[in-house]
Amino acid sequence: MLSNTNCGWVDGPEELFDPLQFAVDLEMTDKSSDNGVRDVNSLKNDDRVFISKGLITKANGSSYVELGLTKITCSIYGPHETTTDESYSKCLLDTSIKFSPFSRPKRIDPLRITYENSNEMDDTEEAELCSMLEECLLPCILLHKYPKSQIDIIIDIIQEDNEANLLSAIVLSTTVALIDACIELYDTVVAKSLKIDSNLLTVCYMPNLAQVSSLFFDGELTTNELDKYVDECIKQCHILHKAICKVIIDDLKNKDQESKQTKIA
Amino acid sequence: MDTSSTTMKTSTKNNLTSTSNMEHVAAFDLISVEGYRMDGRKSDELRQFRCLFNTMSDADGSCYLEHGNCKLLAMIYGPYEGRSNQEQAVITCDFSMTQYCVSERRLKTYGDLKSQKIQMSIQRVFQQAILTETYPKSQIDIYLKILQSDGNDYCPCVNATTLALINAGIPLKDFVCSSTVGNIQGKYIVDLNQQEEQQQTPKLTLTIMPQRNEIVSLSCESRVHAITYNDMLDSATNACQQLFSSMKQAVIEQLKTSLNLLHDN
Amino acid sequence: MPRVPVASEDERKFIVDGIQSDFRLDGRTSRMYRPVLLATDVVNTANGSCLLKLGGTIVMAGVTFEFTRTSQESPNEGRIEATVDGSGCHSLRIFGRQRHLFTKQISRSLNYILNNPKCFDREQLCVVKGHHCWLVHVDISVLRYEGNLYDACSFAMKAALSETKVPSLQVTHDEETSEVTVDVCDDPFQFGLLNVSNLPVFISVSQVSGIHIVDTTLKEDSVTLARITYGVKDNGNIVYMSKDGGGSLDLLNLRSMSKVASDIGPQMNSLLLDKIHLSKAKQPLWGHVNENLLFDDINFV
Repeated sequence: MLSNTNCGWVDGPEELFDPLQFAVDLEMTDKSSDNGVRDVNSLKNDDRVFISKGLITKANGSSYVELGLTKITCSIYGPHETTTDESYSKCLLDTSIKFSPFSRPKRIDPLRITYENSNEMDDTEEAELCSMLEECLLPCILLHKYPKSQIDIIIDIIQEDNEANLLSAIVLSTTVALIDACIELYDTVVAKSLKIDSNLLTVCYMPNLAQVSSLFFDGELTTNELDKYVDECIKQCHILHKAICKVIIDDLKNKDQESKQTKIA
Repeated sequence: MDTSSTTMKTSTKNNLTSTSNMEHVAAFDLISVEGYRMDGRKSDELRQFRCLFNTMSDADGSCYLEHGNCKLLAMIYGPYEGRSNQEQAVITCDFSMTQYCVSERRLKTYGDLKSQKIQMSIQRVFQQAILTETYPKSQIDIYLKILQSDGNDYCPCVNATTLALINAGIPLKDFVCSSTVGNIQGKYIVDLNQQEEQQQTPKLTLTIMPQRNEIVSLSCESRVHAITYNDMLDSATNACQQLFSSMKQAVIEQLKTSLNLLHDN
Repeated sequence: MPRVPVASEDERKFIVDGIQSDFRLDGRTSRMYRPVLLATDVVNTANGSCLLKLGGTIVMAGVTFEFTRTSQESPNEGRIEATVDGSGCHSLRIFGRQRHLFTKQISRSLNYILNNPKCFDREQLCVVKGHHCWLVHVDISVLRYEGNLYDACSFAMKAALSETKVPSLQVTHDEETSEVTVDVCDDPFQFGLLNVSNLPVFISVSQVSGIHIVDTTLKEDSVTLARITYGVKDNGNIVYMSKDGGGSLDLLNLRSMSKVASDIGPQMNSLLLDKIHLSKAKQPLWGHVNENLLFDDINFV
């Protein structure tokens, strides 16, 4: 894998796949399935999830996630040797999030320069999402297993539906890509955002460990109301977790079958 | 240096330098008919000079200085074991400001051209003043923070650094005092404030070691007649001597209070 | 809060043991704050300013006004932004390159509460509807860092904003040309004040081996696994919440932490208000020089 990414020469895809092969379409609510035909009404449902992995073959791990109308790809390079001499005992996470120019109704200028680690006003939305993502991934990756190395997480937001969905979709895609890259994790981390009135709550949750890895809230609530919101978010997180599990298990089964077939051949 | 002779010289010079005389007209109300300046000072009077030691408990030496409207903090960290292997101590200077230290909000607080220039000159001045040979292979950090600016930042910075170094107990060859002098309406006014600084008049910045009678740095970035120059130098030296006496008094007072405290215990 | 090893293995054990027996390094209990000392109106160049000490953490906040056009999305609202500046602070150097990320994160959190309509009414910054408004800069400089910068910054911001003098303006509307001209009054005695009664303060609650403590010092940060910063209003409602520290929490902990925050928040709010009033009474009359030096102990309340 590493040699592939380092050669700097891309021959195009090694194999061609029917994209539907990877597609596991999940209907999360109890609505009747639309038999693979996507009509506009069902797409508007915020709970609709589409997850596929192994999209970008040159990366160590990658994923493509649709959550509602939000479309996100995530690719992971590494763990590879770190270029900075900051941390030796643990693995560094280097996240970069990029909005595509057409991700929003209003065009985003791709040439807008963002300076990293400078004193400039680089207070962009991307930087904020990056720090949120890192905060939520830190408890779930076994960072001490990869000393002197770093993991690059590159996320492209192809289309953004609403801000409530965005962080949730980013975390989802990163988790799937991390699993695809065979990086050791304590648990899969899933995120769900709830937006009711002007209250926005995002909870990143690890279902098997029953631990909240990160949370963010903006609005106004009493503590009791807040607890209810968190409970609701966690309930939704469990559903998302099932979706991830299904994709990964299906993928494993597929690979298993493939390997059996090759053995027979 | 009696005052009568200086006034004699002034009158002759005014005839010689007619162009600078024109500029004096623009600044006509800086000195009243009675000889008082905008803030009520006499031409050879300094702004109020007050200081407080040990303001930052984690620094090895620190000083808060209020010179007129200028408020700044100087902190000394070191000498500590540095990276360099030189036979004498390395001195670094870190100069920063607050965004609101001037009436027009500053966008950059650190690392712009002006602060780099001040950093460089402070470093150079104190490389000469500190007995650097006493600390081989070590480093001394000077941190300067302007909280409120009143025109010239360089002079208060030098004075505050001297006091902070004394507070840190670092051996100096002598006090280092710095002051400015300007020439407005044929009068030499010392210790310019912001309003006076902004005038297009000749001004001179002098940094001396008062007890050794040595000039450490001297800058004059305007066209000045040779006779005027000497007079300006004289009044700047006078101002520095005045500053020295108030600095010395502050140091002695601080020493007295700390000794008294010890005595009481 | 980037994790920095400032305490050794044994020292960490000592700190944790102390916290477990409700007696922390400096003698506080788990729900106690370090002494808050503040002085308002300390810088003449800013419209409002505050110097605040929270134990060893020292921050200075300055408020400046700028005149701008209103945005098209919200024509009857002004704008307000907060920045946290850690340049020239030696004690923040332990974070290395993460220093900027850290201060930026705090300024982001401050901006969230400033732009929350339930916390701060931005309509009071509007001068002419759809035309002119104030752009308020709240700049916070960190002079010294010894833990809990979030809370110190929010305290300083509230104190500085509450004593900010809004320049009074004269708006003249020309009926014929429908032109609006705005002039700033020269009289320094004429000024308005901002309404900041709803502005929350940050309460950071840290979890150290199952115990929730507030106002952690730098050394306690090195044993902290996870920390949640709550924005708490004076009625105990929570308006902001974010987590840092790199650890994870279970639901039970989460609940009791939000309880702690909403208990302490109103207390800190009222304490801060009292201090602000005391400090206002202590200010010299306009045009008079402050007899005390800025960092003098007499100057603080």
